[in-house]
Formats: sequence, structure tokens, C-alpha cells
Amino acid sequence: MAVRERAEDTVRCEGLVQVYGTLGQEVTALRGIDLTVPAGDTVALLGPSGAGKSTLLWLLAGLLKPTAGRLEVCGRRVNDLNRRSAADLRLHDVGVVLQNPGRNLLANETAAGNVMFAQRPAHPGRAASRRRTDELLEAMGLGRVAHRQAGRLSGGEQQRLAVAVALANRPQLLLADEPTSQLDRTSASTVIDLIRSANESEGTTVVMVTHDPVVGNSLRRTITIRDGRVGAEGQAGQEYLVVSRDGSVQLPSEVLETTLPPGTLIRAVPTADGVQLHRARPEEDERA
Amino acid sequence: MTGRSWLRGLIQRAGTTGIIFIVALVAVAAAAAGPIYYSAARTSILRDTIATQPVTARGYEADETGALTGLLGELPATQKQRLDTALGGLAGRGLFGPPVQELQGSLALPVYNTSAPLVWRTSVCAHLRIAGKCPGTNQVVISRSTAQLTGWHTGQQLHFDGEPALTVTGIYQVTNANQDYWFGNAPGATQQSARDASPIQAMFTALATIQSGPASAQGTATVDEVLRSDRVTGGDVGQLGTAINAFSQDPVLANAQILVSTAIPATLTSVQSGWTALAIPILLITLQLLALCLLLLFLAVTDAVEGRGAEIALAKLRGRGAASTALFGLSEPIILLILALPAGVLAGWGVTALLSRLLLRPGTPVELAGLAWWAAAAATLGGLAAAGLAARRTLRRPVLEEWRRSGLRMNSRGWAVDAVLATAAVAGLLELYFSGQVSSARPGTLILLVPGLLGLAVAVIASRLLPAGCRAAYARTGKGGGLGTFLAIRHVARRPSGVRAVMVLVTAIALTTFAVSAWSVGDRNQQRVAATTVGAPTVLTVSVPAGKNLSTLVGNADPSGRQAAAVDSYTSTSSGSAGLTVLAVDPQRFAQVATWNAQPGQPSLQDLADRLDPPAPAGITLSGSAMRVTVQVKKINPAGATLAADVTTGSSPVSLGTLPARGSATLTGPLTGCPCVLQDLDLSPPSSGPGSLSYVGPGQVSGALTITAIQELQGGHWVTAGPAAALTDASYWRPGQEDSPPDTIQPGNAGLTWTFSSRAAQDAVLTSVNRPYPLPAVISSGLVSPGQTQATGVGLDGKSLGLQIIDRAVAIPGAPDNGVIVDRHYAELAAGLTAASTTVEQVWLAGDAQSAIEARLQAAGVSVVSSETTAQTASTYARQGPALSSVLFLADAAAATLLAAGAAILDLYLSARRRRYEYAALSATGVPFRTLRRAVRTELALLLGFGIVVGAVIGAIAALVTLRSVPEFVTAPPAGLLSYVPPALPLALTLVVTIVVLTAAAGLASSTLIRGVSLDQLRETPT
Ligand SMILES: Nc1ncnc2c1ncn2[C@@H]1O[C@H](COP(=O)(O)OP(=O)(O)OP(=O)(O)O)[C@@H](O)[C@H]1O
Ligand SMILES: [Mg+2]
Repeated sequence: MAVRERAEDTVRCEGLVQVYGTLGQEVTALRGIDLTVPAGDTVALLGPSGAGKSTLLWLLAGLLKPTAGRLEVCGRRVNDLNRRSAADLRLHDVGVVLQNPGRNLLANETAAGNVMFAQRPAHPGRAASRRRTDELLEAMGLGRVAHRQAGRLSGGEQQRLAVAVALANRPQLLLADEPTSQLDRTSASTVIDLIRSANESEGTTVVMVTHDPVVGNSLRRTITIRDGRVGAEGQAGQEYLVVSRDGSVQLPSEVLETTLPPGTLIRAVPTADGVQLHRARPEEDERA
Repeated sequence: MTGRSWLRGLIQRAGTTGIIFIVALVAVAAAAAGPIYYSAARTSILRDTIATQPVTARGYEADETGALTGLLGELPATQKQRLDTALGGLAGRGLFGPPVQELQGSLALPVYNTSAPLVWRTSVCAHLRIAGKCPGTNQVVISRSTAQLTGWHTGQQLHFDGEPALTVTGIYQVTNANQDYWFGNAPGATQQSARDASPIQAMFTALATIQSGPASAQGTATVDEVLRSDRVTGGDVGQLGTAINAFSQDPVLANAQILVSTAIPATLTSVQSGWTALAIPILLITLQLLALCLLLLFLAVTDAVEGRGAEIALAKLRGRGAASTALFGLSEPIILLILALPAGVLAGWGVTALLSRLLLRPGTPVELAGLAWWAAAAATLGGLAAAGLAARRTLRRPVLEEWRRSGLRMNSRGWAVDAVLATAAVAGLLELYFSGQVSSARPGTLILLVPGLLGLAVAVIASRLLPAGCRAAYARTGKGGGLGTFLAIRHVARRPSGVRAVMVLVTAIALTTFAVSAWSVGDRNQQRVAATTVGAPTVLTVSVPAGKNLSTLVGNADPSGRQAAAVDSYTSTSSGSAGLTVLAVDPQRFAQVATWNAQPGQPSLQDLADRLDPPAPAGITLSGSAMRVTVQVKKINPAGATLAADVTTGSSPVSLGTLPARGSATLTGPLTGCPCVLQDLDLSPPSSGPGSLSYVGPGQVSGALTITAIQELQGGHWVTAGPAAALTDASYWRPGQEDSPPDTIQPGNAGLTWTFSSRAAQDAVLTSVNRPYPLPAVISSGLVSPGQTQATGVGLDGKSLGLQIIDRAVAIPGAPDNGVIVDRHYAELAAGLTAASTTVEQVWLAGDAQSAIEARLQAAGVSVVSSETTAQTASTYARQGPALSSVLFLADAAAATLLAAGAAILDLYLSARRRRYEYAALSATGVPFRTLRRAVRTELALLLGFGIVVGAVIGAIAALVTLRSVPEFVTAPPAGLLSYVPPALPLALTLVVTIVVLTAAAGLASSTLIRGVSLDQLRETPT
């Protein structure tokens, strides 16, 4: 099989802004996301409901055009993609698992048929695609139901199948929106294992939205989106704040609720490798 | 996608799939049926026309004149070879036949100063009634009139110069001069052929008789061949016309002195012009149904593709390109459309074959014309385009938008489609209106577009008003009214998408209403015109044995006086009165059987019957063996004038002898074949020579004389003929008033004094009055100006005849535009009982009388030459272009209505099924199923009822406005006969059937729907 030329960074966002809706009824879903995901990286997107995680995923899939900012996926500028090249991007390089499990599948098609449907145009070889299909279904524990109608599968089976479908084309980038939301722990780890093995064996870059910290921590990075911005990033058990383009930093919610409630004045004290933030007391400063 | 899952999807969307397939099928069938029907109808019209043409208009005659001996060897072969060459590919089809050959020589007959035609014709004896034997070599049969003229008789040997003696073996009569065999040239037939120039009619003999004549003898060989209507088809006409033209002008034949005469090309041209009357309506009708089908297809595919919106979005998500996604999204309609192509063509063919069997000339082939496939393919392409258009919105919708959508919404684009439809329809109507097509008296074919356009325009608007109306009603039912009604009205108010289906329904029902009106009006008018043109349910043309009076025979055959009437019909060909048809009838009987279209206020034929034969002087009847006239001549110039008496029947004129220049004389003449009626006394100027075949002498005659007695010899005694007062009462006589100065009569004690002065080369005539003068007549109103009371018509003898107009009729039965009805007895007297050779004797029969009366007439020796019935004529009309297109319109409109109704019900059913979740929720809160069912039914009733009512009203209005301009006949009949008010019964029947069918279907749909509602549905997600 042909080795694809891979960009160094699979995803590169700079100041990504997404505004929904028409004039007068605008919803700003993303307010300037800066994010780089190197090839082969695995990223979990965390964040409260309505934060804009799905929106970011759709942008990465080329389903949306960013309102502002720069977005590059698999070496292609999404800003400049037309419908056709966006489709091409998804066909060759990006696999998507949608948040709503039912939407990922052709309900009338068999499980195997769904996997085949996702890869047929990309892989003309029928036998090869059949082999790949069996492989994926087997790995997902769906071998038993390969020839059952997708619409008749249980919710969990559907979610696993959706991941298999998204991986069918050996994408460079896997975008998964809560692929484990309806799965029990064992099934969830099957899915995660499969995704990880794709990552390891094929170098598939993974961006996955999840609410499940266990799932999140099984990936290399966790990125928390809050209110349309990247609020924090965790790596190797460490939690970091992220400075955004306008210089703002989102404080962790536990800090907001306890030491630095909204409206608190703080003082930034420069240090050798950054700043220290302290609660400021202007009256004391005055006295001093 | 695997085939199985595709099939699963198909089954899951069975309703939509089914309607797409059926709509596509009907569209293709309609498109294919148009050309197939047209081609079959062309052949039917062609064959009908050929069959009704006189033989010369559908055959050809080739003749060659020269030395008799070799003629028949050369002509048939040469002309056949040239004809086949001209026909080219058509030659082998046996379009003509069988050929009839003739060889004609002539025998000089100096006695009569003429020559007699000696004729051989292929198996002639089979077409003659011979009292005697079929002639062999040197034998002949002679016609009855020749026998009368010459006194020749069976067994007699005839000697002609340079010929062996010919033995007369029989006296013949032509069995039926109208047979194709005679090619219009039967002895005694009216065509003025060379043969008829001689007063001696053809003497038929064996071929050898003619061929063994002297080598120098000249004569003519002829070949007649007739086009076989059962062999030609519409497709042959162009080539055939060219071929026959080439044949008739073939230089090779011209060089060989062979003359071809034919009117086939003219016949074919008239056939072709009849076709044009059919081509455009069929095209328009087909296009209308096709347009409606495509609209339905558009709606159905829109639904189907919307139903697969999520799958299409998924295909896009998986990176399918635009083309691949379109193929994926449209695979279902595309495959259905492709499947519908052959199926539709076959269905169209089948239906057309059925329709053709009912409508067209029996035996007309219904061929699957190549054009049908092209039309079907075009319809399929149109279907693909409609499907593509329908799917466009869904296919182009961004993936994310698809996921966000909830349910089907009608957005501004829906308005756009409607606006385009309405604008196009209104523009079309305006165009038609301003181009003068609408409501013009001249039939135009484009008028057939009016109901569709009007229907569509109103339907678009009305279907928009319905939800608006429901929204208004919604506010009210919200407060009062039952829950069922409330739900129904709310749904109608909220769901303008289903209203689209209703729009199509309105249009289709408008079309059907119009089509039913057009067809029933056309049919009624055709029946009426047929009844009037033929004149009576059955009209027999008969040939009456010599010496018998048809009136008497009819009286014997129908003693009731209600079933049959004798009619003499003469159509004038002389200039000035050409086309005028005199119908001489027995008024009382005629009134019983003839078709009479009394206009309001017009008397019935019964009332007119008495006025047609008022009493008249009895005339002078002669029944003795001789007659004599005693005259007192005052003066006469020139001397030597001869007096004759014209009598009816018997041998006439009765030559009475030469008048003295002055003084009294009694002139006597024999009476043979009487009793007869004295017509007139006829005074001829002396002729220069004898010779009974020389006609009028020159000069004129004038003078005065008194007739003192007219007597006849009865039982050896001379007795006064006629009424005693005949010579003392001026009303018994009419002097020649056209003479100048006009002749006069003066009754006196001595007798009747007659002063006369004939015109040049004419006799002086004193007419015995035995009939009303002028003759009372009922006349076509088109022939006379209003207020006119007298007119000059023609009599049965073809001479002019004064008429007293007692009434005028919009249409005279038997001769609508140009007929005159007179009393038969008087008309015959007026014609001196010597009818013109073209006078036709007919028996008009009431509806159920044919078999019985015909049998009795035949038993009395009357032979039926031909018969014509109202039913046949009506069926001929029904096989002509206008009726054929009218039926096609009806069939197409019915198909459209069924389709539209099916689609509307399905659409409503599907949209209601999408709401089953809501119904389930309602039923969970304790609303009884009864109420839910009522809600669904009310909704269906509201939409369908609206469609039916609006559609029917539009259709009826379109019919009232435009029917006058819809073609009903190929040639325009008298306008006064026609009525354009649609008969109520067919309309009512159509509406009832439509309502019953729709109600049944809607009831079924709503029951199925509500039965399917269960609490389980609450577990499903509402979509
Ligand atoms: N098409 C749209 N039009 C208007 N607003 C939208 C649209 N799509 C999303 N939004 C809004 O944008 C914001 C981000 O939505 P998004 O779906 O990305 O959130 P999310 O982080 O995925 O939430 P969740 O965890 O609940 O799935 C929300 O406030 C949402 O209401
Ligand atoms: Mg989301």
C-alpha cells in the first residue's frame, strides 16, 4: 500500500473562531483556539456541555469553514477547501465518529456493509476491503453481528461499529465525538484499545471528545475547552493552563470557586520562567 | 450499498417507492401511448377514409387504345411492372387488387346512327343478373334498356358490318353498380364514360369474340385496381402518394400510350389533413399528462430523498464526492425510472391496444412504433431531470444542516416553485386568450391546454389559501369544537407540504371534469349530427322492380305506417343549385321515422306533414287503350306542328299527330302501360327529319287553339277523360308562363282556349295541374333568406321546381345544410314520373324496424343496394380525429386523477404516520382512538374534499368557457344543431365515482394508520 506523505503536524489551528447563525442571532461557539496536534499524537477534548468541542471537531473534519483564524488539517488549509476537496480530505485522511450514535451508520445496511461503505471509494480492491472489514469488526468484538442490520444493533454495538467505520480507511486523523458515551467499562476499553492500536500501528492521529476522565487519561494529551477557548491542557498527569492569543488564561474551576472568585483583582508577579498570580488588595497597596 | 440493504430501504419506503414507480410508469406509458395511439389512429382514419371514398378515389384505371388483337397482352403486364417500380418497397405488400381487365371494341350501328360497345370484362357474368345465359364466343348479353330501346330479344341474331353474327343469349341487369368491380363504370351508371355516349349500353361477350375480330379493329383495354384498405397503414401514406403520382405520370407508360387515371393522391392528401387534426391534440394531451406526472414525480422524489437525508449526509461525511453522493441519494428513483421505461412502454402499448380495439376501426394494427421508444426515453429523461431537481436541495444541503433539521419544512423555495407554476399557467392562459383561441367559434386545438393551465393556476392559489383558512379556523376550534376537528385543522394549517399533493389533485380533477364534459358534449353532438345527417335510424338505398311504386311496397311492408317511409332523394349537380338535395317523402310516414331537431317554437314534423301534401286537383287519369284530343285551331305558325301528350308511367310521350293549320281536328294516340296521369299537352314545331334519336328541332311554334275534348278509349267507347270540368275550369291547367309573351288560357263553353308562343327550339306546353303549385316544402334555413316564402328548387327530374316554403329547419334530416323536403307523390308528378338517373330511391326506417321491413321489402322484389345507419355514422365520427383525441384526453385525465389522488392520500398518510408518535402520546393521555381516527379522517376529508370541489368547479368553468372551441368534427356541421352545455349525468357520475374511490382509500389509510398507533411508539425517538 502506498505510503502517504504525512505533514509534521496533523492539526494546526491558529486563532480559530466559529460564529454560528445569521446576523442578529449569532452564537459564538469558538473564540480563538490555538492548537497544534503533531502527527501520531492522541488528544482528548474535555469540557462542559456547549463549550464547543463538537464544533471544533466539525471544523477539523472540514464540515464547517472557520469564521476566522487559520486551520490546517493533514497539510491542507481548511479555510481554502471547497466542498469537493473537503470531501476528499474526509475520504482519504480523516475518519469521523459523530456524537449521535445513530447518525454514524446506514441503518438498513449490515454492520459489515457499513464498514465497506466507508472504504469502498477509497479502496477499489474488494477482497482487501473485505479483509479489512473482518479485521476491524473482529477487533471491535462485532464479528458475531457482522451481517446483522446496523439499525438492529444495540446502542453500544452501534458505537463500536461507528469507530470501526471511521477507521475503515486507515485515516491519518481520527475524530471521535464521545465514542464511548454509551459503553460499559469493558467495551469502552475495547474501543480505546482499538483506537490506540491504530495509533500505534498506523500512526493515526487521534482527537477524541469525551466526558470520561478515564478515557481522557488514556490518551497522551487532554485539552479542556471552556467557553470556546482552550482552557487547560494535561500531559502525563500534569495539568497546565494555556495562554491564549489575547493573553488571557482560564483558571481552573476549583480555583475560581475558592481562592479567586470572579471579579477578584490579581497581581502578576514576573518570575524567571513566567509570572506568579496573587490576589491583589488595593487598600493594602495604598497603605503601603 | 449491498443489494439486500437497498431492497430493505425500498421496502421500508414502500409507499414512496411505489408511487415513484407508478408515476414514472404512467409518465412513460403516456409518452409511449401518444405515438402508438397516433400511429394506430392514423391507420384507422386512413382505412375509414379509403373505405368510404368512391371507388375512383381509391383505385386507378389504366387504359390503352389501339388495335384490339394485342392490347390485352401488353397493357396489364406493362402497367403492373411500372406500378411495382413506382411502389418500390411497398410493391410486395399486395396493396392493390384484384385487377379487373376489360377489352372494349365497338360495332357500327348505322340504323341508330351510333355504334354499340362490345365489351369483355373479367368474369362479368358474376356481376350481372342475366335473364338468359352467360355469353360465349360470338354471343352477347344486352342490357334491359338496350332491349327496350332496340327491341332486341334473347335468341336474336345480330348482324354488324364485317362481324360474324352475334347471338343474344340474355338480357342483363347490373347486380350492383356500386361494386368496386365496376369501378364506377357499370352500364347505366351516371359517370359519363365513353361507353355511355352511345344510347346502346355495353353488350358483354366472351374475350374470343372481340379478339377474333378483324385485325384492324380498334378498341380500348382497361385495367382497374383498387387500394385494399386492410393492407395499408398510416406509415405507407407518404410513400404511396409519391408512388401513385409517379405512376400516373410515368413517361414509360405515356410513351406506350397508356393512360393512368386515379384520384388516390387526392384521397391521401385529405387523409393527411385529417391526421393533423389529431397530431396536435394528442401531443398536447400527452404533454399535459406528462407534465402532471413529472410534477408528481418531483414531489414524490422530494419526499423520498428527504427521507434519505440522513444517509445522504452520511455519504458526504464519508467523503463521497458530489456525483457519487447524488448517485447514492438518487439510486432508488433512478433505478425505478429505468425499470419503468420498458414496463411503461409495454403498459402504454397494452392500454393503447385496448383503447384502440374499443375506438378504432376493427382490425387496425396497434404497432409499437419506434417513436414510442423515443418518446418514452424522453419521458424517462424528463423524469430523471425532475428527480434531479427534486433531490437538488437535499443533495446540496450542508451535512451539519441536515443534522440540525427537524421534520419537513416548507421554506421560501416552496413558494418559488409555486410562483413559477402559477406564473407559467397564467401566462399560458393570457397567451391563449389574446391569441383568440379561447371562446372563438373556430375550433382550435391549443384550447385543450386551457383546463390544465386554469386548473394549475387556481390550484396553486387555492392550495395556499387552504392552510391560511385553516389557521383562521384553528383559532376558533381551539376554543370550541371537538378535539378531532381541532387536531385535523391544526395539521392542515401547519403542513403546507401536503397541500402540494392537493394542488396536483385539484389540477387533475379539473382536467377530468373538463375531459368528461368535452367527451360527453362531443359525443352528444356527434350522435345528433349523425342522426341528422343520415336522417333516420336506418336509411336503405333500394332498387325497385320496374313498374312498381316504392310507396306502395313500403305501405305493404309496414302497414302500421310508423316504421318505414319511402323517400326519393335527388342531389342536383347542375350549376346554380349544385348540392341541393330534394327529399321527396311520404309526409306522414316520414314524420314517424325521420330525425327532427325542432328548435324552440318550431312545429313538429307531424304538424308539417299535413301541410306538405295539401289536396290538389285530381288531374286527368287515363286508363284506356288510346286517347284522343279534339282541337279547334285558330292559327298556328309554322304549320305542321305536332301534338303529343306527356303521360306518367306507360310509354310517353303519346304521339297524337300533326295539327291542321286551321280548323278542327281530332288527334288520336295509343296508350300503353296505363293507367297513367296526363302531364301536359306538348306542341312541337315541325322537325326537319325523322330519326327518333335526333333530338329537338329548331324553330318555335306559336298560335291559338281551343281544346274541345280529351277522351280515352275504354271498352271500345270514347269517354271523356278526367273530371268533367277539366276544360271549363282554368285551375286544371297551367300555360307556359316562361314563354314570351306568356301563354294564356281561357276556359269557355266550347272548351279551353290556349294561346301560345314557345321559345326558340322549345315546345309549347300546356300543363295539366295535378299537384299544388308551387310545391309546399320544408327547407334548410341556410338556403333561404329570412321572410322568404317562395323559392326555386329542383325536382326529381333535375329540372327547376317552384317551392312554397312552409317552414325552414336548422337541419333537414338526410341533408342538413342543403335539403328540401317535399311530398313524394307531388314531386314525382312534377317530374313526370321520369326521375333523373341519379335520383336514389330510399326507404327510411325507424330504430328497430330494419330486419323485419328489409326482409319484407326483399320478398317484394326490392333489392337493397346499400344501407346507412345513424349508429354507423356516429361510430365513424367516433373514429375521427376529434373524438379520438377527446377519448385520449379522458383516459389521460382519469389516469392523472387516479395518480394524483393516490399520491395525495399517500402523502397525507405518510405525514400522518410521522405524527404517530404524537397520536401515541395523545392516546396515552386518555384520548380515545375514536377521536384520533376522526382527526385523521377529518384531515383527509378536508384536503381531498377541497381538492375535489375546487377541481370540479374549475373543470366545469373551463368546459363552459372553452367547449365551443374544442374541435368535435372534421368538417363543420350546421352550428344550430350543436349544444355545448355539458350533460349532467356523466359529470355527476364522475364526481360520485371519484368521491367514493377517494373516500374508500382515505378511510382505509386512516384506519391503517390509527391501528398502527401504539404506546410502543413512545419509546422511539420522534423524528
Ligand atoms: N448550528 C448552530 N447554530 C447555532 N448555534 C450552534 C450551532 N451548533 C452549535 N451551536 C452552539 O454552539 C455552542 C457549542 O456547541 P457544541 O455542539 O460544539 O458543544 P459541545 O461542546 O459539543 O457540547 P456537548 O458536550 O453537549 O456535545 C453551543 O452553545 C451550541 O448551542
Ligand atoms: Mg458535542
